Amino acid sequence: MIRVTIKLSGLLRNQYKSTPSAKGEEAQLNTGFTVADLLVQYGIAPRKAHMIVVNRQKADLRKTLSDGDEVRILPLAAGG
Amino acid sequence: MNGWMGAILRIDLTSGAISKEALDPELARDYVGGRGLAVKILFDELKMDCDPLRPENMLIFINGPLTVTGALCTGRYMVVTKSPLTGTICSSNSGGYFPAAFKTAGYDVIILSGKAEKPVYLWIDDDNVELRDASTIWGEDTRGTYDTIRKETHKEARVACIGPAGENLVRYAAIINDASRAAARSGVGAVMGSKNLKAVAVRGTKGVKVADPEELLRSTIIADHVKKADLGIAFGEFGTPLFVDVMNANNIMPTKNFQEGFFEEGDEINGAEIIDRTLVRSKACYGCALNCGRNTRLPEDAKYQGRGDGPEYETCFSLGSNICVGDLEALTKMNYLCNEMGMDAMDAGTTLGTLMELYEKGLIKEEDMGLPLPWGDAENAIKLLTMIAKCEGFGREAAMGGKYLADKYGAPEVFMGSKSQGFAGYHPRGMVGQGLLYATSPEGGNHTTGNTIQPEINGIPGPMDPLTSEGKAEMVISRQDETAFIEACGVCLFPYMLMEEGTEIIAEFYSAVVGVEHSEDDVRKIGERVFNLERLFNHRLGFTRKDDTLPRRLTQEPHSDGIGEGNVVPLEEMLDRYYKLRGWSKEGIPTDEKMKELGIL
Repeated sequence: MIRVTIKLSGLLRNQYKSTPSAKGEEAQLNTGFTVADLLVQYGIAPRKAHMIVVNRQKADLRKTLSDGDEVRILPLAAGG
Repeated sequence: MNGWMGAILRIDLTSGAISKEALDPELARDYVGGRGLAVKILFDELKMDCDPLRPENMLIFINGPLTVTGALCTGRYMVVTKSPLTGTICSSNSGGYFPAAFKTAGYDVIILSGKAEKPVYLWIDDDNVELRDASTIWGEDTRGTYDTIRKETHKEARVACIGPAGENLVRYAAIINDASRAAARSGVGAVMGSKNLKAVAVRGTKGVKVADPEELLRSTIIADHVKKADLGIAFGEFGTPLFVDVMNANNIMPTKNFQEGFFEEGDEINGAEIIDRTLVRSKACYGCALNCGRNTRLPEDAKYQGRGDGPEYETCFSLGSNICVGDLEALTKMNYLCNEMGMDAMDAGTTLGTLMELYEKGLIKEEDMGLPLPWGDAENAIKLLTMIAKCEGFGREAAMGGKYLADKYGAPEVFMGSKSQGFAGYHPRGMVGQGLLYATSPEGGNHTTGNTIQPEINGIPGPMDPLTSEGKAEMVISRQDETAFIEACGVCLFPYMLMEEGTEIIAEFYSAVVGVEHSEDDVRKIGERVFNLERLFNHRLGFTRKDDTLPRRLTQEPHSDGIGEGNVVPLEEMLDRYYKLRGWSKEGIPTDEKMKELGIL
């Protein structure tokens, strides 16, 4: 097993109610899990994950996760 | 006239003369309204080399033909003048309910010139217009001014006013309307203060004629579409602080005076934290489909107390990551303070960022400022903001802005802005097109003359590498021209800049309102005319390529770790192509040929 921190932003946080605070939560995954597997575990449709960032670098659904990774799933942006 | 009220109100504050005149339909056709029509009026009438804080300067309040129509998000107005911060033309926009009252009182434009002998405010009750004594409210904060003027005039009056910062000529003083919305940037509040004008209060009861009301009904369908889109829902739910997460993850949230693009404490000051800790309710401007405003209150057990609006994303950057404050309550308090004092929270933050870096480098000392100012020192930042607004002690110097301070204390390179105005919250080393946009903006570091988030970060309409110069000159020109048209119309930028088909939609709305068919190309051409006239205005004041600059931190120092690590902004290369495509000289000077093509000369 590996442990990763998942941080959901915007509506993902609300829709999936998986993250109790804005600061993220730890998830336990099987070794060899990818970002796509993580999304399945959280019930997040891939089209809702506009941007995926792992350890502050852009990643895609095929990225294999490692113990201690921080995964951010982000919506579209705008100015403000 | 369909869309326009057809009337200009002129106030000579020196003599107290009030006059009304008809709006020239040809000028309205060519320059529309908002910053477009206002820059044309200033270009024709202003003594351009005037000191912005002398009576000769003119201050224009202006709405647009789509304001208070059935089009989407129509509650906006602009304040246009020669800026005391940048020395250029500037246009500062705001939402709320003041814009609707202003237009339905029967006016497209209010032109204020001269200087009143003693403090006054302007009271417009439809056709009845008068200047009233403001001696008793001079010195009041913006909330107090709003309450007092509504008591003195009418309970339905809408008020745009200055606070102590505007009265004291802080170079980045704002005009605050509806007690919390800000025409914040470029020091428009200082120009108002220099005229001894405390407020403009207005009540309007008239309607706006549109050419094709049935066509406009489509807007309700589009509004519904925008509301139900993920980004539309998220805007209402989280407000603009939603984007703290996105900017931080993309390594473009300016941190520690733009030394870095990632703020470790970003999760403490984002939209979700505001919902959990301070949000009372979301709120909307007139005719809005998004509800992005935040009405907030600090918890009773918090160190700081208060209630008000915000912060917006820009404040989360300027008074948060930019000065390393990760305490949401302190950040919110600073935001309240800026609104109450009538001060731009963005330039307040970039000024503090400049000072904190000067302090870190030992170039400015505690004895210079009267207090220490290390990174993240919210308590002293709050003290200093009050000193600035009141021009007390070192506050008088800090009121001149970050550029002045960086120059005076021997490190001009630490000021993060262009044309003396601090940047907005998008780090150009991670999105270089935004760097080109800042450098060529008519008023420097401004995000409302266009931003490049949609193409560079969202990849809409197609993939675009944010780290290279490829396609950036074309994209920036397009964003600048489209934005100039939207802002001329008197509507909010958000929905139109968010929708991929935003330009097409606003062209349809504009056609339906004014009754003359306009294509996307037609409205882009109007935007291009407006942008070029602003450029010509600035050129006549001596601004050229030498002023289209970025600090060397952005062009020479490599980006911090994360996405885009090591990148810099290839500004000169982008500028060459940008000027060529604009039809300007290599020095960035608008050519007679181009001006004739656009009907400017």
